[in-house]
Amino acid sequence: MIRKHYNTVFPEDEFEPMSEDSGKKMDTSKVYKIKYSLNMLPSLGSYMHRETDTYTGETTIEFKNDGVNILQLCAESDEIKIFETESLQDLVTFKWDNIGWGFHLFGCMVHITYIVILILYTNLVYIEGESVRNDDGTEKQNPLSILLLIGIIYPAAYEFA
Amino acid sequence: MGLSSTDKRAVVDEKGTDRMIHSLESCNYLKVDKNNYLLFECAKPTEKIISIQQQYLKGDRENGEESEFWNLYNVRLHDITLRELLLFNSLYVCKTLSEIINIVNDQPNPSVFYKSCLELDGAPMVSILSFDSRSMSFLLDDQFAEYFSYQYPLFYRNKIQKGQQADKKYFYRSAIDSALRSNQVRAVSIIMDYIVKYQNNFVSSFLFQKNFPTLMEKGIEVKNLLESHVFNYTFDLDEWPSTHTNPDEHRRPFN
Repeated sequence: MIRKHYNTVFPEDEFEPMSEDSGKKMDTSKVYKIKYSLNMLPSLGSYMHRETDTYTGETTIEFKNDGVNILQLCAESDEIKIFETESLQDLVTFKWDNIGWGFHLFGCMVHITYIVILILYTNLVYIEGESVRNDDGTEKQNPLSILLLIGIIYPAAYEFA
Repeated sequence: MGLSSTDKRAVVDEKGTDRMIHSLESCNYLKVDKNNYLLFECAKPTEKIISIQQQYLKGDRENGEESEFWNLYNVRLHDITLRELLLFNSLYVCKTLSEIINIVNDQPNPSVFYKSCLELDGAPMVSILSFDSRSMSFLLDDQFAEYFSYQYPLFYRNKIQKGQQADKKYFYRSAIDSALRSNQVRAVSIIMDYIVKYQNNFVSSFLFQKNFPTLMEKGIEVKNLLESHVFNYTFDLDEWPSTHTNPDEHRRPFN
């Protein structure tokens, strides 16, 4: 199945197969033998399976192993040594690089922004002692307090999701 | 074996001997994927081999594509002797597990347990006995390594009759599934050790497609399995370049 999908897996120009008639300049002084490995651990967890009928050309999509989270199973296991295996390390690295890193970076940035706003708000209201009421006695609208409220939405959604 | 789609049919040959004709379609359960093909090599009366194959196209459209078949695994069907049939029959009439273990351990040559036969719907007896840890421990011991073959694996999906013969209903389960259902954790560990040693091929990964969460929940050690080639297939295809100037390691998704 993977046989004719080299260009799908490696679509970038830099991974184009080396050939003399490609017209592109490549440093051929050091050429390395490629080792391809197919890690099949993700197929044990839930994934989307797309299948095209060779006769009708009709494509069907179905979920396989619905509800199975392979990394959660590994994390809950008492067998810590499984994390020494290359296949699991590859899976964790792949998930971190493609999903985890961006997701947690966004969470980290939201958290830092929230802390900065909290510091500014604390400084403004409690250290500089700015009044929280207008001259006519009505409550003063502080934009930082609204930002603080917005900033707490993400951690709350993260906890409850 | 017959060409009809009827699962199996009892007939009497010209000598008056009872025979059972199995259809080619009745072996479809051996396929790992529904797109697989089965190749029946039954020219030799004493050696019938069923090969489970995957078709693929080699070459490109410009220079012409050629259809090829890739062998995934083979099942060798044996003719069972009367003595062996009596042995199997005695296993089925045993009332306790100890009696089964005694019969298994008493065999001077355990090769009969590794034989796949149509009388057992294409399964080897060792696979059927997976509900018992002690039998597994004896039969899958390394002392019998001479009977184990990389080409002809012992563990694959088995066809098991559901209810009465007349119902013609079957369910399909591997030895690991049977052992897990019987809560035989040690038997599962022994089978997995065997797979890592003698069926160390990515084709064996289909045996764990459904039951891997159960293995983890029951605390069965899977480190050796994860380190093996069962879930890590190294390939070298003609259509993929074999050399490049980029020495870095890259991880890519493919579905």
